Order: sequence, then C-alpha cells, then structure tokens
Amino acid sequence: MKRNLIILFTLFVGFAACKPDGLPGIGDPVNKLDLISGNWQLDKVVQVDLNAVKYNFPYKELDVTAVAPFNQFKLSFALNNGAPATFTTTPGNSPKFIPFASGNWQVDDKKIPQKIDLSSGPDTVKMQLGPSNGLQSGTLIIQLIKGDGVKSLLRYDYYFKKI
Amino acid sequence: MRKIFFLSAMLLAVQFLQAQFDYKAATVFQPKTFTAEDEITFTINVTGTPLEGKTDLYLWIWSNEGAAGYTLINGITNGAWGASLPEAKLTNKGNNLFEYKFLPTSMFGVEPGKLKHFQFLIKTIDGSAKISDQNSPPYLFEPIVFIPVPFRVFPNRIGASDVATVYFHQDLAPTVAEQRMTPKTVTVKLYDETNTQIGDTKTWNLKTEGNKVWSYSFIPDITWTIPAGKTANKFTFRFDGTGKDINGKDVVVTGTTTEKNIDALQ
Repeated sequence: MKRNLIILFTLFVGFAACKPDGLPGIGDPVNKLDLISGNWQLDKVVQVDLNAVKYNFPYKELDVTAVAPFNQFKLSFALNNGAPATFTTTPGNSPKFIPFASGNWQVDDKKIPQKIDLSSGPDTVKMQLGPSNGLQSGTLIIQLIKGDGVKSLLRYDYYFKKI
Repeated sequence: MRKIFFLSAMLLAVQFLQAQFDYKAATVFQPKTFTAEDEITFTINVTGTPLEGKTDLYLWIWSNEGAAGYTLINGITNGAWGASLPEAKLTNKGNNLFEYKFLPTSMFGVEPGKLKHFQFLIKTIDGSAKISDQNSPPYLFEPIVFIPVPFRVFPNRIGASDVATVYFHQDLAPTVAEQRMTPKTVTVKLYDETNTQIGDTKTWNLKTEGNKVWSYSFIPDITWTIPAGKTANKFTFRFDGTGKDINGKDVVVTGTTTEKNIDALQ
C-alpha cells in the first residue's frame, strides 16, 4: 500500500513538473537565390525521353556526360540587391546548350524559383530549376525541355557543382 | 491512229495529274507526331483543288484501312457522305486555309491500342465536291507501348544538336549472320533535306553495353559541319562485325542499314 502511494506520488510530481513547451522556431527560409548565385561547373548531363517516361517505356533516360566535353561548361550567376542580375557562360569545348556568353537571368518566383530565363538581347533560353534539395550541398540542377512546338519530347538535366 | 493514241495518253496523263493532291505539302499537323491520345490540330490548304473558294468544308475521316490486325473505323463525326454532320465542319481560316482539331480516341471511340493510323478527305456538306480523288496517306499514331527493335535510337525524337545514341540489340537481329557476328563498328551517314549526304561517312568502334547490346553516341551538328542553308534531315546507321564462314574462315559481316529522321526540336 505504502509502495503504491510512493509510485502515485512520484507520478504526480512528474506530471506536475511538466509544462507545455513551445515548438522551437524553424529559422528563416532558405534564400534560394543566394544559393543559386555564384560559380558553377557542369558535372553531369542526363537526357530524358519524355514520351518514354509518359508511357513507362523501359528506356527513359541516359547519362550522356561522356559523349562530349560537357564538364568544361562553366556558368556564373550574379545578384543585384538580392535579385537575379547577370550571368556568364564559359563553355570551353562543351556543346553550347546555353548559346550566350553573357546576359541577364530571371526567375518566376524569387522565394520558390521553378523557372529560370536566360536572356541575351532579344533571345531567351527558357529553362527550369530541378529539385532544389541539393542546392545547400552545392548541386544545382537546371533542366532544358525541347519539343516540336506543341509537345514536350526531350529533357536535359544539367547537374552543376559549385566551384 | 498513232496520233489518236498519243493524244489520248496525253489527256489521260493530264487528268491524272489534275487529280493528284499533295497532302504532305498542303497539310500542317500540330503536334507533328502524335499518339492516339494526343489532341491533333491540322491545317489544310485547298488552293488548286475543286474546293478552292468554298467557305464551308467538312471532314471525312477513318482509321486503320488496310492495317493488318486492326479494324476499319469511321470517324464519329462523318455522318453520311451526302450529309456531313455539323461536328465535322472545319474552321475557315481564310485564304483557302481550313483547320480541324480532334482527339483520336474520341473521334474513333476506341482505346489507343486499337488505332494504327488515320486517313481523311475534305468535302462539301453534300459530298458534291471533294479535295481529291485520292485519299490522304495514312498518318501513323506513335505507339504507346514499347516495341522492341534490333536497331534502336535514344531518344526517340532528336534534333541535330541532340545526343543521339544508336543501339544494336543482337538478340533481335533480323539475319542469322548478324545474330552470330561479333559486332565491331557502326557506320553512320548524315543527309540533308534533298537526300544529299552531308560530309563524310563515319565509322566508329562500338561500346559494349552487356547482354548482347552495343551502342555508340554522337551529336550530329558537332560530328559534321552542316553547310549554311542546309538542314540535317536524317541519318542512316549500320552495325558491322566479324564472323566465320562455313570453312571457319574469318569474314566481315555487313549489317542492316536503318534510317532515322532528325527533327527540328526547339
């Protein structure tokens, strides 16, 4: 009986000591534009057949990095007051999938950028930002989608490493 | 007698030529290739046909004619030849240009796997005039299931600046010699829109992928210099190798040549 009272008392003291704690703050959201800015070098190129993906064909994608000196391609993004400003490319002997040496870049949403436009004069290359979970560890994925004007047929995933 | 025969032949030839209609030149499809699940929009120019100058034109469409293993299906918008349904009316875009939009699976009322290709005619509502005595050529639907082939290109649609990878699946090779050979090289030729070869013929050593599969990758507009004013329209590729003759002597095996279109991807 005495033992039960001791257990009950201990439990009572334990529960009485509990108090509701507020959840810790999750911190400021990651500024993706800050992470995108800087110097990048192309590490990997993957070709994706969008029709094969849509219909679940067995051959959907192919790593084509070794087909040409893609690894020589360098890309720099600069910010101006936290907003996208200029970019430069240094292709080396790589295929020039971004056909401009320099220009301006823009994103569709500064907080959650999904699309990125690279412009030089009147010409623009419209690309997409791939999954952004690698940005903090220094991996930027930019996607270029090609089609026949109506239908998207082919996608290139360009994996850049921060340098 | 000979003159009469000659004149008759000339008249027949003229009549035949008049009845011809170049569907390929007069018709623009969007998208350019399609599965039976894609919405298709086509524009057709009826200039120079019996329909020139008419304002109200109708579509007559059918699928699978002559396709082995498939059933002939008429479009649900056809109605009767002498009385087209309103749903078959094309949109008049002016200057003898007409447009029509349809979804193949809805037009023919079947699953995409039951559609091989379609053909059409353009007509007046009562069928008193039609675009040509000839039906359109069959327009193929791209398959929605993977069909294994011995000579494959990845990706399925490529432009001149894209990486093209040609594959040889030896277990599917069409000849016994190709099935038995030791694949060594692939020979590739590039052609322009006039079917004239661009640059020289390339022969490359194959990369082994394992499981009797060999490959080689290249980028057409880097491998060849495409002359200004020309476009790379297609390439051919052929896998060659070595084998043994009936006496056990080494012989060169020349493979099957396959053709692949190059599209203007953007």
